[in-house]
Amino acid sequence: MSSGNRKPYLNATTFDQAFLDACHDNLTNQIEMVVEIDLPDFSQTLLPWNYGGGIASFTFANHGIDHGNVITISSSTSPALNGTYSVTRIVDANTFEAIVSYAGPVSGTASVTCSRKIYASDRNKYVGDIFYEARVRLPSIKRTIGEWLSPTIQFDNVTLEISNVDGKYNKYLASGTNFGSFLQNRVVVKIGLRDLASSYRTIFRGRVTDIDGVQRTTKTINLVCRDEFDKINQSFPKDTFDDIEFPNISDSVFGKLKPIVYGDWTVDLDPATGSCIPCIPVNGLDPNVLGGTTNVQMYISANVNTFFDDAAVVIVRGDGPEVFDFADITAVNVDNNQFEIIQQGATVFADASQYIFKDGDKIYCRVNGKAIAGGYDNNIVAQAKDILTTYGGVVSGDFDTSWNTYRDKATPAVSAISTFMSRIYRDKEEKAMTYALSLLEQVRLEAFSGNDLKLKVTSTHLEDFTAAPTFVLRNWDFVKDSFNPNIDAQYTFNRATGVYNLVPTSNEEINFTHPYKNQAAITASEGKVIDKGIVFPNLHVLDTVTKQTKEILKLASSYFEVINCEVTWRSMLLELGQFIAVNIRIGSIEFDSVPMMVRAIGYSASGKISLQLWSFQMTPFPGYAPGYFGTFGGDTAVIVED
Amino acid sequence: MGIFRSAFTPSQVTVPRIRFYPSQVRVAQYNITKLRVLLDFPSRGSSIYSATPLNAWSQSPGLGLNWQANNTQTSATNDFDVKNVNTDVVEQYWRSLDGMIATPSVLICDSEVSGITIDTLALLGTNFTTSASVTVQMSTDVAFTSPVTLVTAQGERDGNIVWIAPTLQLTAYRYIKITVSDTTNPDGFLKIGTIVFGNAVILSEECITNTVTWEPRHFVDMIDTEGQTSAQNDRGIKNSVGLEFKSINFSSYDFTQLKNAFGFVRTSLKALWIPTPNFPKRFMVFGKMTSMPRETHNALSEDADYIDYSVNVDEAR
Repeated sequence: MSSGNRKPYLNATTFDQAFLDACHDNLTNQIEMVVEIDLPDFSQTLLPWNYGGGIASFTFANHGIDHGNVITISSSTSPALNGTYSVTRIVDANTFEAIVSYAGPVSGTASVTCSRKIYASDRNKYVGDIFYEARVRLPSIKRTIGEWLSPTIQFDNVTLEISNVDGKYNKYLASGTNFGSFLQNRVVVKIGLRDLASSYRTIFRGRVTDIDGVQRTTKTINLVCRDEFDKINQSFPKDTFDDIEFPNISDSVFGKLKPIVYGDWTVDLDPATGSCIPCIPVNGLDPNVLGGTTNVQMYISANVNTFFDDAAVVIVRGDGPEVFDFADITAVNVDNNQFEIIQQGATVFADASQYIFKDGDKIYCRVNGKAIAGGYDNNIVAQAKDILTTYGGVVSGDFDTSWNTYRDKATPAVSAISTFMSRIYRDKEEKAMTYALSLLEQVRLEAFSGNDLKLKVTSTHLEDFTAAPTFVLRNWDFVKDSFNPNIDAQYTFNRATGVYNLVPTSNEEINFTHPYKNQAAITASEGKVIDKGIVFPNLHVLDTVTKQTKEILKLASSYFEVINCEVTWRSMLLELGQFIAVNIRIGSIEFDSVPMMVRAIGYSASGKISLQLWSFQMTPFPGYAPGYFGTFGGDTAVIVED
Repeated sequence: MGIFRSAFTPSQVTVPRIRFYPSQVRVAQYNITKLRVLLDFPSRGSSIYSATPLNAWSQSPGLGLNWQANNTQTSATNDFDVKNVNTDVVEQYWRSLDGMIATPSVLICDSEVSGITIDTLALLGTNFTTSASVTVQMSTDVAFTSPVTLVTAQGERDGNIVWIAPTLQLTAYRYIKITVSDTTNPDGFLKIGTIVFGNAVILSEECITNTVTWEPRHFVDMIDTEGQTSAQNDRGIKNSVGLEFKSINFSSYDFTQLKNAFGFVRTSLKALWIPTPNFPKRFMVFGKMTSMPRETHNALSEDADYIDYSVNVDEAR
C-alpha cells in the first residue's frame, strides 16, 4: 500500500481512502479547513450607464465590496447584460471594477447586486483559485445519528471566532457603512487537502442564529451558527381554525390546530368509541345550528383524505358510541375532509331521541388519510418523508436514495417495512424532524445528515449489519488514551413490552404486546430483570409490533458497548452508519476484528477525528458469529414470551 | 573640516577643505557585508494617498495599485491579481495564466514619481525553477524605451530571489520591470508571493556578532497514537533568525539607525532582514520582531556607553 513518495499529500490530485492510507503509512498528511461566510447582499440600481464592453467601472457610495466578491447584473432593458461577474478590482471605497462579458450598447437601467463573502481559514492559503485569509479559529464540527430509541437528531452548533483586531470587518458591524448584522447569513465549513479544491467537502452548512448569533470582543467577531437542517424542525401542523374561514365557529374550536391524518383509520380502532377520527364542528355558533334546524358542519383534517366512511360516523354519549344513520351524513366534500350532519333527521338513538347539536359533542368518523404518491399511503417511511417535505421544507434533492430503499424493503419479514401499516393523527404541535424520526425509530430506522449533507436513513436491522467491514482501525489509528468503551444503561434491557396504536380518542396507545424476555441475558445479570416498555404510537398491527419489539430486545440484551474515541485523519471519509472493524489490543481492551457501527463523527482542523462507535463484539448477526463465552444476544438470541 | 552624516543611508561624508585652491569631495559609504533591513517598500508605490495625479495605470497613488502584469490567471474571486505582490502575506500570490511559462510574463511597477534607487530587492514565495530567467529593469518612462538592467537572475530552490546592489546606485528610476520565463516549470504557471525593493537601513560601522541563530520551526498537529507512534498533520515550516549585538556605541550613527528601525517596525510590521548581504539567502528572513529588543547598557560615561541587545525575527508572526 505504501509508496516511494514519502509525502504523497504534496502532489496528490485524488482524495480518497487509498490516498489517506498511503499518507498514514508515512504518518503524515496535510488536512486543512476553510470557512466561507456570506455577507449581506448589496444592491443598487444604475441609472443610464455608459459602458462600451470590457472593464466596467461602478461607482457606489461606500460599496463595501471586498476581496472575492461577485456581482449580478439584472436589466430588463438590456437583458444581454444579465449575468454574474467577478469584481476584478477595488479602486477605492466608492468605486470598483468588473469585467462584464457584454460588448453591446446598454440602455435603460440595470440592477446590480453584489454578493459579498468572507473567505477565511486558520492559515493563509489558496484552495483552487480562492484565497482564504488567516482570520478564523476553527472549531471541531460533529455529526451524529443521535440517540437510539430517542427521536432526536443532533445538528451541530458551530461558533466561529473571526479575528477583527485590525477592524477590517467593522464596516459590516453596527455603525459601519455596510452594516448587515450577520444574522441568518449562511456559513459553510469545508475540509480537504492543502490547496486541492476537488478534495474539499462541506462538513457544515448553517446559518448565523438570530438569537445571540453575533457577539464581538475588541479582537474578534464571534458567530454562532446552527446547521441548515435545523430549519427542518419546524412545528406542524400550523393551520388553525379561525372565524374568517368559519364565521360561526365556536370559542372552543377557534384557534385550535387543524389536524392532519395519514394512513388507514378504518381498522384497529378504539373499542370504546368505534370510530377514532374526531369530527370538529365549525358552525357551532350559528343560532340555527344551536336551534337544531340547520346542518352541523364538520371538519376532519387539513389534508385531503382518500376515503370517508359515511356509515361509521359515531357520537359518544354516556352509554357509549352510537352510529349516525348514513342518511344524515351529507355534503361530504370532494376532499373527504368536511361533511355535514342533518339534525333531527333519520338517526334515532337508543333512547329514541333524535340528534340535536350541543357544543362539546364527541363525534368521530373513519377515514383513510392523505394520499402519498406511489401508493405509499400507509408506509411509515413515506409518511416521514412526506412530513419533512410538506412541513419541514425539505426538497426532494435533500433526500438520499436510502429513503426509497428502506421504504421498499420487503425481506426478511421482521424488517419488511413495505408491508407494515402506519397511521398518523396529529392535532397538537410537534417538530417535523422529531416526529419523522419517531416514525422511523418504530421500524428500527434512524435518519441523519450524511457526508454529502443529504438526509440519509440507516437501520439497526441485524441483517443489514456488515460482518466483515473492509475498513479496519488498529492501534496506531487511535489517539492515545482516547479509547473509552462503556455500557450505556439506556440501551441495555432484557425484557420488553410493545405498546402501540395511539388513538386520538384517548390520546394514548391502547394496545400491548405480550412481554418478551431474553432469559439468558437475565440469567447472566444474576436474575435481574431490566424491563422496558417500547412505544409504537403509529403502528397498529400486533404482528408488526411484536416483530419490532423482539428485534429491539435482541439488540438491547446483547451487551453491546458504546465507544467514544479519537482517531487520525485516516478515518476522515467514514460515513455515519458505516461499519468498520476494530482490531486493537491495549491493556484491558481487546478487540479482534470486531464490527462496529459509526454513530457520530467529528472533524477538527488538526486532522483529529472523534468517533462514537457501537461495538458488536458480543452481538451475533448474520455472517458474524463471535463465539465468545456468554454471548446471549443478537441474531441468535432466544426471545420468549414471558 | 566638517563632517555631515545623512540621516538616511547611504551615508555621505562631506569634506569641505578650503585652501588656496577651493575644492569639494563627496564620499559615499556603502557596504554589502553588514546587516541591512529593508523596512519601507517603495515597490508598493506612493505611501501617501492623493486623488491625482494618477499613476501609470490610471490609479490614484497611495492605494497600492501600482503594479501591472501582462497576464494573470483568472479566478472567480479575482484572487491571483498582481496587487497580491504588494502584501506581507507571502502565501497570497500573483499567478500567470496557465501555460504561460515560456512566453515571458512581465510585471511593471510604478513606484515613486520622483523615482527611487534600489539597493535591495527580493522576490519572495515564487515557484520559479533554477532554470527560470528573471530580469529586472528600470526606466524613467513606462514604455521602457531606454531600460537599464538592474539584474538578471535565475530561480532559487527555496522560491526566494534576493538581489543586493554591489555598489551604491546613484540614479533614480520611477518604473521597474520584472520579466520572467521558466520553460521547465512543472506547475505550468508562474507565481510570485511578494515583491519588495527599495533602500535598506544599512549598518556602516557596527554590526551583529558572528553568532547567528537560525531556527526553522515546523508547525504540525501531532496526534499521539496507541501504536507507540504519532501521526502528523503538516502545516509547514517557518524560519526565525536570532541576532546578537555586542557593545554597540551609543554615540554611533548605526545605533541611532537601529533604534529608529526598531521603532518603525516594532513587533507589528514585517521587514526584510538580511544579516549577511554578501551571502544574503543564508540568514534572510521576511518577518516581524518577536519582541522589542531590551538594551543592556555598559554606561562607562556619557560618551562611553556600550549596548548589548539581541533581536529575534520570526517569519511566522
